[in-house]
Amino acid sequence: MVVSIEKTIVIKDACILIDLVDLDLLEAFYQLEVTAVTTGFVIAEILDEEQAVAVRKVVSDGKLTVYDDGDIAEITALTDQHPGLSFADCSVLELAFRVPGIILSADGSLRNEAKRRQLTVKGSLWVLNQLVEQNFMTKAECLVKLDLYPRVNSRAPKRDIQLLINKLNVGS
Amino acid sequence: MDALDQNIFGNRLRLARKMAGLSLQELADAVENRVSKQALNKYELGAMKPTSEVLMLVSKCLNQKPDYFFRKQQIDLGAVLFRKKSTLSKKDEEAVVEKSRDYVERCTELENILGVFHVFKNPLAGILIKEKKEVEKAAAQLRKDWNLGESPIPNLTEMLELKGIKVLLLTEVEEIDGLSAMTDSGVPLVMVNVNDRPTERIRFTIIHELAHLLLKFAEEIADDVVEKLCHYFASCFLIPSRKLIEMLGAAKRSYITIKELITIKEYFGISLRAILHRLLELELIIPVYYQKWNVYLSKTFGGKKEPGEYKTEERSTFFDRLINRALAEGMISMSKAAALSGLSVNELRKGLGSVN
Repeated sequence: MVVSIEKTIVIKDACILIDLVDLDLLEAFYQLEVTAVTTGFVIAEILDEEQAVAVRKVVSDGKLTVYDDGDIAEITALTDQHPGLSFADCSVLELAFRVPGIILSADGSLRNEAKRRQLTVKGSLWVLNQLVEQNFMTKAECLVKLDLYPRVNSRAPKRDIQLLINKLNVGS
Repeated sequence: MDALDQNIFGNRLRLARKMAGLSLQELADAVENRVSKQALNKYELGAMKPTSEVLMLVSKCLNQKPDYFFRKQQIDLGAVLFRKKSTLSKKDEEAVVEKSRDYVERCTELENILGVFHVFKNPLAGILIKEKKEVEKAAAQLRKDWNLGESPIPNLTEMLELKGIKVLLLTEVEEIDGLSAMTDSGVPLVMVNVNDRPTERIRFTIIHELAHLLLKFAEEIADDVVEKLCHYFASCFLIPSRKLIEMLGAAKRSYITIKELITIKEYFGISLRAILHRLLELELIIPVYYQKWNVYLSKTFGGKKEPGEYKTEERSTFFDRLINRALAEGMISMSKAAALSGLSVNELRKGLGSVN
């Protein structure tokens, strides 16, 4: 089933941005009909030069909007409530409440907290699935990316990757 | 009351600036005057509250994650004891103290998240050192209480960390060898400079600082004597006398070859000069012979260099273990791990590097 994400606002964390860069999917991602936003604190976490260049390009192309107006008092209140989350993580939560929108995150802790707060959360595998379902990527191309994913991210969700591989293979 | 109302940001900004060794003007210059010196001063005093933009700017310039500026648990290092050169500037001293304090704070924050609470108990608390011979006894007592036997201790840093002592190995300021402190919450800290120093010297400094932490000296003992007694403790702790005599094969020696000394050095991880001094203290060699060795070493190898090398590196594993455990148990996010460790999200994500 194709999930309609037209005009949906997605708020990205650093982990998903890095995943998309490393999987060479950052440009492909913007074929999806979404309005992508993030915070300046998230952008500041991308320190690898190659990744930073790729992210700066989608920002300058107007594909990714960076919000630098987070409410610091609200963000610090969130970090106080969740000592396991960083200031940048909480800036994503704060923006998700304010905009509001779907959180796109590849980090388990942030995803769990967002879900606990009734926010909708999606990850890298959801992006891949959407790209296939909306015919921006073939199943074969997706399988190549799924094979690559655990090699570029040691904390990639291996079980979920296998489930998606199985689903794609069954459907082919 | 939130972090802004309590002026946590202002206090932390001042500490981060000190850690970076910058004056208000230098920080204003570093942010290209996008925040003026006067405005920075107002932030530090709590007269102004930062916007997200200002926070990002100072975070970047001071090489700190935004999290640093809102960390609520502020630890007081108490009396800090240094082993330093007189040329150490006030600015560098403050930077080193702040880095040490920051390390304890980060450790404590991680321990709180993990629910790991370690109450440090000084095994030598009941001993008052009045004379030198009590130092050797204290060193032996410590090895016994910590179940260390008499064998060499390969990684002193890791051993101390397992005993609840925070050990920070720094590389930045040349003029300081080490420091020790006991925080207001009872957390012991040893900081040692590892920059361009042989492992034996680093090991000696670690135990010298440990002596400052654990030993209580009688009030009449002067500071310079305390320093010498801490040196003596380090020698005694690193080479138990019985082991040394056993390795030399006799209670007294008229001649010793350099090969024998190097073997002892490479086994125990203590310098040739410290071994010779220990031999003198134990009266295994006579003062004239000790002097001859010192002259020989200085003439042959220079004032500080000497042959032989202890192969095991001093390495801290404590913080690394805590971060990995917190990540593995899903108790912190990758971004939080980066904020605590000083590594980037990408480095952690790829499992690269060691955390300190």
